[in-house]
Amino acid sequence: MRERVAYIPQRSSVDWDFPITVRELVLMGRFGQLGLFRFPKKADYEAADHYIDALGLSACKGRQIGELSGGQQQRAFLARALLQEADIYLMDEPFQGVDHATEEVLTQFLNDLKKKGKTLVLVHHDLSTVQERFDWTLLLNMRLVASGLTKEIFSEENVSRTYGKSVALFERSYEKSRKKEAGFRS
Amino acid sequence: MMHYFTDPLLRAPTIASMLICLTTALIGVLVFLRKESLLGESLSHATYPGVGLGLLFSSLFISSESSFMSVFVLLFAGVTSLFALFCIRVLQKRLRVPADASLGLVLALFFGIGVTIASRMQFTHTTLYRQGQLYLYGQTATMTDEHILIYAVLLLVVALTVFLFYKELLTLTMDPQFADTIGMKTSLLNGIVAFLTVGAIIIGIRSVGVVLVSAMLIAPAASARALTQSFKQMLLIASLLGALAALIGTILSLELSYTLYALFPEEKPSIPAGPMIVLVSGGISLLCFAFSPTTGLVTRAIRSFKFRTKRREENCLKAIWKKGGTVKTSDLIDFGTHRQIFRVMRLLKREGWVKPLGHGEYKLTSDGTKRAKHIVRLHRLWELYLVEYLGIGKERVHCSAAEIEHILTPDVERQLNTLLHNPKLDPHHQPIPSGDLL
Amino acid sequence: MTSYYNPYTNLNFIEVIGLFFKRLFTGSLTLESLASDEIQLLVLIFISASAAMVGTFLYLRKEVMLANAFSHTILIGIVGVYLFAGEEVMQTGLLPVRSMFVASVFTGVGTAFLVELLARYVRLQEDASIGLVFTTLFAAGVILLTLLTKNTHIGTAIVMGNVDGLQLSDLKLAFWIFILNLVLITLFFKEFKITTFDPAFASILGFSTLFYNYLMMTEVSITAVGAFRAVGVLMVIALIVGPPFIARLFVDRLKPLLLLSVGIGLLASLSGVALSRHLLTTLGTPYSTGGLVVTLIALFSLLSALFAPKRGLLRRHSS
Repeated sequence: MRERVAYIPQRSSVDWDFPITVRELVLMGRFGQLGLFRFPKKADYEAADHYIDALGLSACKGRQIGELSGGQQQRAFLARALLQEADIYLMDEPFQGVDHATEEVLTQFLNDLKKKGKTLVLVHHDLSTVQERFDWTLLLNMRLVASGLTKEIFSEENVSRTYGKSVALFERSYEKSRKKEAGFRS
Repeated sequence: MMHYFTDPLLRAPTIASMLICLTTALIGVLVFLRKESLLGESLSHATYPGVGLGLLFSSLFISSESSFMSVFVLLFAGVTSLFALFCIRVLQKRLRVPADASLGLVLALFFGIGVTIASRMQFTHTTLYRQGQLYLYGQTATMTDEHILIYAVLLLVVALTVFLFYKELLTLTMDPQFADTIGMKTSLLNGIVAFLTVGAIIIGIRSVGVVLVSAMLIAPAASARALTQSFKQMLLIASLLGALAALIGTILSLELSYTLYALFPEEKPSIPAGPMIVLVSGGISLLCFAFSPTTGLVTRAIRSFKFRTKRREENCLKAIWKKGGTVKTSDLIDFGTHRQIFRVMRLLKREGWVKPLGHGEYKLTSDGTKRAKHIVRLHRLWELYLVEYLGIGKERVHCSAAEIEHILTPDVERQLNTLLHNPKLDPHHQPIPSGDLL
Repeated sequence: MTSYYNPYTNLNFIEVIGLFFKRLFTGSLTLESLASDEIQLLVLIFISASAAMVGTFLYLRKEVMLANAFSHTILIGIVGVYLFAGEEVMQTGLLPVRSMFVASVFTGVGTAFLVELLARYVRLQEDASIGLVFTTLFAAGVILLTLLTKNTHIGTAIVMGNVDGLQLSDLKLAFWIFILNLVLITLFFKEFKITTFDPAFASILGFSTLFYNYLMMTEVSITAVGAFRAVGVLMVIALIVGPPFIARLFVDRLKPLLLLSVGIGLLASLSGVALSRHLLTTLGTPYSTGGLVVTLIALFSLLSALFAPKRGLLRRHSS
């Protein structure tokens, strides 16, 4: 069962000083499938390179992971997860603190994975993007508040029950994000 | 120096030491990357009671002249060290003692018990006592060819383990969470690392001694880390540096001991090998830190010097261009001392950007002119950017541009040009040289 | 002193303790008439009291391994004293008190500085910086000291100490170090307390956490210097961390912790000296007194870890 699940952690839990290049990091995705006493072969390296290129990381392939920008680091971890070729992907705040380019790449990949029939479970805190991105939502605040199809359960009432804040705050931030999406540049 | 490898009395100490320190350095990389250097310190001191007990136990079976005493000592030392590891874990997990206190406590208490045992042996088993004391600081002078065999075999076992479990060790050390999720048996692997660590320590204590062996875990690894960004290379370089330190340290300690003995034959002084190896290793580390391609002080100083030279060159080029293409070196005194200017002009001449006219006069070549114009372009583009996009007053942008002009890359230049829509004038209404120069 | 009869000869454990207290309370313990056992005991008492006081703070500040590093690097300071103190030191092996103080302060500050340097300019991780600095300096110290004293076994003495070789000068040193530690800790008690428990708050209030850190490390160096002849550099850590560890299993507040730690240190010292004499009397073998003190601390630690009320491992499951 473990081999079917890929987990992408929050960026903060990694040792960025570790002497490992992007390529070696991505290759790690294959280690689970290889098992003990087997070594990665040319095909594995090529698969790693494929995902590295697909995520736009070819230029920093040989660099130590600490030298990358936040968005590049996130993409490297995504590449590693993709190399696992799992059926279920668990991601912990993958959109947090990334630049616009990375956000686009990530969204595109997630959509691709979805089309291939993979299951994606994300921890996500950006309320303004929940409705457009996710089919199913789980609202948790130490206990389950609500779960179900996003369009059914993602209401102001449920959200304020989860966050414990007044509805007005949520309303205002929602309004602002709607305005921004409508092309209103400040 | 070759006689250290061939002379029957010297080759065992030399070669065995090298094999030993190679082993400790190899595992030391793992210890270093797991940030467990202080654990190594604690576990190594905890071997001391094992040394005494091992000697006592082995004396029941074999004569004290046999080299296979080392094997008993190793075994018992390993047992006490592993027991110490167990105690540390219990202290940290069950009694919730802070990490440093648990390490320090186990270190001091185990070592103290070892001292008590040794003090007893001092009077009841004097020969064994003296052998035990050798393990404090390491002593290789009494090693025989059999030791070479023993430590070669041990190195082989250790190296093979690291090789077979390479990818597991890499993943476990770098991202234990990930290792878990892809199905690696992390508790088993952690156990293997613990055994390897204790193994490296008990191997090391013969050559470097209980007190200092933790240095041979850390120093080669730290040196290697300064030189490379690859885990694989780090393992290789650390091992080599460990062996090198052992070689130089053993030679120095033996040579120094002979010299001392010649000078003061009555006192029979000798320098133990361990501290010498550690000192050499520390020296190697210092060199590696200084010359590290990424963080080395020497490397950075050189880079800084090169940049300052480049800056001076470019400033001089600009100045010559502004003065109409010809200049005397005396006109350039603002940009440096007489000697610095002389050097710069020589460099500019070598690049083909200026032509000497004699009597300290120089003229810009066409290449030089293009280059000077390019720098001016970068300067003025940056000024424009600061004024238009960051709203900085045009009186204040000159200083920043004077620095930035030397570091803007062609890529950034292109982006600035696009952003500013192919500008022709800078904020001071001076013309910006066009971009198709170089 | 040579034709003097040691009243502790051939006594067993209880008798030793009995005699000591008798001599203590009848005023027979004058500097001229101290038996060697008593010198050992008093030195150990002062050292363990100093170590326990400093150790309590170090335990709470999580700086025990850092203290271990400092106790090693004082060796360089001692080498310095040998170099500058000249011939008389070489002959008698006795180190002048004032020079020891100065040496320990210098090495304390110097070590902290070097570790900081490595961490900042080489960007070496903290645990490796500490490990690298002190082991290399210690190795240099051992080599230099071996060269200076032309004694191959000086390295062993450094690390094991020699309680039986203690003299009156050692007692004076240990006493003054104890007084110094007592004064500093009493004077700066509030400051040490705040910088230990809430350094962020302390710096807001204007206390320089850096200063008190350096001060504490200097105290460690000084205490280690005092202890080095008696128990050696490694076992002083047992005196520093053992008593607080044990005390912490029983009490929670700072002042009781300090008092109990000192008490435990004193108990271990007294029992160690008495036990050493006892074993010499009954078995005829001289055990290292320093080693015995540490072994006793190990025993107390084990017993406390198992049986301490509320926290002991074997007591936890009973309600």
